[in-house]
Amino acid sequence: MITRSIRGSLVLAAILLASAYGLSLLADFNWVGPDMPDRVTQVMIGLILVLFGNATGKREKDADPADDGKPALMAARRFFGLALVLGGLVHAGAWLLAPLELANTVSMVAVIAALVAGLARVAYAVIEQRETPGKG
Amino acid sequence: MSDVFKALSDPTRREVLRMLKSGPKSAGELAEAFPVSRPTMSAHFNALRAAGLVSTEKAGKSVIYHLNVSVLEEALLGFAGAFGLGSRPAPDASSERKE
Repeated sequence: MITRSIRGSLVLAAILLASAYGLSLLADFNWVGPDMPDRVTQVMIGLILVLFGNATGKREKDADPADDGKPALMAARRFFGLALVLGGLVHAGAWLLAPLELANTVSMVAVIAALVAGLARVAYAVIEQRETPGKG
Repeated sequence: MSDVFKALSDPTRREVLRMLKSGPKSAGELAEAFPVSRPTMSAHFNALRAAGLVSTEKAGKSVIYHLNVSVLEEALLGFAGAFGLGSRPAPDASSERKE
């Protein structure tokens, strides 16, 4: 069964592939600059990261909070989402504005830093949860 | 999205969301912190629930409210508070309730 989120992800992937292919065709005909396909694709990847990060801290509409409602874990999820959003924004901004070599480095560092910070926060929450199961 | 803006435009509802950041709370606990009547608080809770900013869990007779915000909604909450949309109520359980 294809859920709404899987369908959304498939549509996003199709848009990403189609635009990358379309832009590379345009670049072959010299209708856009040679770095344009890379830039547009990377900006889209950054924005997709922002989109997923934004939704990370939010439960599904009908989800029961009792199932995943540990406050410490939800706070960690919200932090992880914020880190992904910031990482995605820096990624998109770097590919939009910076020179190619710099954009590559800056975007990678931003996304890796966001992932490390987010995962560290989640790991901390999980460990704290195990040590004090009664709390939150 | 208009439901979210409507919910965040009220200082009482924003204060409820801030209180929920520290963890889930029952409707009674939340209501006691504001000098307003229960029906008024109930309307605030309904607005928050309609906007999807809180999710609820039933625990016996009481309803437990959980914060359920995305990054954008949390940022909007911060902005709305920072720019002071409406006056901020002082949560005070001892205040006299008005009807």
